[in-house]
Amino acid sequence: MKRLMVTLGLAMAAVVALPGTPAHASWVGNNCYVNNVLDSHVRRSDALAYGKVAIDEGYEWGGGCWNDNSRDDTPGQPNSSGEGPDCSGFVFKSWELRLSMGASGFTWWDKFQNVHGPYTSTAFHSPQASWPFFKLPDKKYSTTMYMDAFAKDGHIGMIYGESQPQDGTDTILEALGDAYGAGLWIESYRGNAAYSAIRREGWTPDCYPRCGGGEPRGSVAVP
Amino acid sequence: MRGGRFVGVLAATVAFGTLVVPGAARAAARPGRPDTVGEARAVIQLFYSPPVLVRAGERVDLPVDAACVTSAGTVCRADVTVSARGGGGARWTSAMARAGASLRFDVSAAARRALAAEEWSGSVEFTVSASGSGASASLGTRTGPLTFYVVKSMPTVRVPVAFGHAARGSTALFVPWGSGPGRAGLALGLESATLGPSSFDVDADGRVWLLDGLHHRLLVGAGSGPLASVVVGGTSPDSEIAVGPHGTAYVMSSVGGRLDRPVHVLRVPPGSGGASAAVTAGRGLPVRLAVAGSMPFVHMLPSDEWTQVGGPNGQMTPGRPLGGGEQLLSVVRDGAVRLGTAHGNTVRDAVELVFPANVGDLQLAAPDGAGGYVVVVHLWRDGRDADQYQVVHVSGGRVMQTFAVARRDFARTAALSAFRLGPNGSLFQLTSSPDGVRVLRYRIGGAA
Repeated sequence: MKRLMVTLGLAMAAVVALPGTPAHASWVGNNCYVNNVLDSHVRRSDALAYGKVAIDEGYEWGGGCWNDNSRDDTPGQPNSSGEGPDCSGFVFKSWELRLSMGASGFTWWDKFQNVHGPYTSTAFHSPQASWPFFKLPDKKYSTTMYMDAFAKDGHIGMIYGESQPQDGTDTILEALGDAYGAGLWIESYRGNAAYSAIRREGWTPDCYPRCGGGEPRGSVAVP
Repeated sequence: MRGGRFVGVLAATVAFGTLVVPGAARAAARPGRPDTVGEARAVIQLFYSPPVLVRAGERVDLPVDAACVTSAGTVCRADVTVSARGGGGARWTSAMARAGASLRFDVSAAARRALAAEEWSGSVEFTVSASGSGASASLGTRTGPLTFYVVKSMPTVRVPVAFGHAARGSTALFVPWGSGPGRAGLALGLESATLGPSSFDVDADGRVWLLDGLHHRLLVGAGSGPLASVVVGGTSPDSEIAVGPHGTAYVMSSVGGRLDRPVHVLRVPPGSGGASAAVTAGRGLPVRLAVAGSMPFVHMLPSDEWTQVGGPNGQMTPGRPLGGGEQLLSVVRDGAVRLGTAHGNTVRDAVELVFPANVGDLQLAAPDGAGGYVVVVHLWRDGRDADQYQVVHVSGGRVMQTFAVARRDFARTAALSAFRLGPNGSLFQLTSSPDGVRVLRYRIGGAA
């Protein structure tokens, strides 16, 4: 009897949780699978390299699965278990956050795993003290580093580089919306009071595993 | 409601991955993160911070980001080389370093040589390149180099700023949201940006051209009169528009996406019902579109320079072309805005604007026709959740006029498309609110 109740419970949970369409009729159903592993010594450069693969791969609200063919395989099909992450899911996977809300440490997620993670852009914008990311004290160029993020209630994007275009903007790696997909855009988030600068904690220095020279280094003189 | 729906989707996606997919059978072991590339194809992307305009005796640092990544999403190794020469006849000198975080090159020596050869101002030509792991990338070549300028004198002007006292402006055009005639497209964001018209411009007759990229059309009108609609294919929600002095409009296909995408510019002749065939402006990440004389120019990253649409390949300028061989130099650096007008190696009317607040994006910079400039710069204060645009008219080393304008962006515009100068010294701002798009007009005394 107990086994029957558990079986019925699982069946009902599946009905509630799953989309109405047959799973394998969707892009996610046909292409995505589970593959993740606990990770360590994760550098900002690893996060950038991971995130770059998602450029041009579409956008899906609540989504988190994409391939690497540099095109949106489900264009014009919003909220259909299509290809691509949404903005907060993109940060979750690029930052190798863990599925348990507030858990520290790193988990590498295959790009083909359709996982969004527990954090919305609002959560990124206003993190709790125990979470593995935090709000920076200001948004000055001297304070932020690449693969930090700018987050507001409704959107989040990651700083792609530490160089600064002449117009004082930033190059942002972000999942911008159904009409855009994921990619690089010039943005003015830094000056926008609605956005906060957010940093993932626990990065390993980029020089790893050869950090003999130490970080940071000074300028290289051109004679 | 929205949050509840979102949690539902989250639950669905997590459960979906767990229940439906035979994950273990298809899962591959996680690839390692080798520092050199194995079979995966490597790509190097270069960015740098252009000096644009420096003062004699200053240290000139050139930050360089060289991201070497593979198609498998792993990091690869690359070396970066910067070459520079100050003054046209000087020899090239170079330095090389391993790509990495916070990499900077000091090009002060070339700047010193540039000014030694000239009396008041000079220029430095330079290139940035990176190679490694079977990939390479370069910005500028020795025959078509990047450039920055050095001036002996650049007065500093302190701009007074009063936070929270914003000018209201008058409504030049209002368009409600919608898809029908006389309406502009809106796409509400769901964990994404809310989209509306991405860009606008004002022609010599004071008519507003509003780019409704969601519906692939231009809306043209003024005041409360009827709006004309021009269908323009190939636009996207982040396209950019600029209107020339003779009423020809140019539309740039996109201002974002990826670095190696071709950038197309469409031409809409005055009185026509649509756009002509697109002209490719090169590959890169487009930032701005502008018209000088009757020619369109595009400002693109990662070169961070301007190039003429359909013009000779490889000819770039760090400043916005003004016509007659002149270019407007403008750069945001270290909390200040620097401006100058360059012609050949000569820079005149150089000035540095300093603000009692953090300086963000430089939305607009234009000469006033009398040796001064009109700029609109985004300012913000730490810890107070306050930001505003500051309009400044500076001339002869003095602030002639300055006032604040509030940021009003219910929907996202292209990053540098919020302000345009119109005829008779008017400044226009593209704003949006829950009811629609509003173009506001402000009066700038003495501006061209």
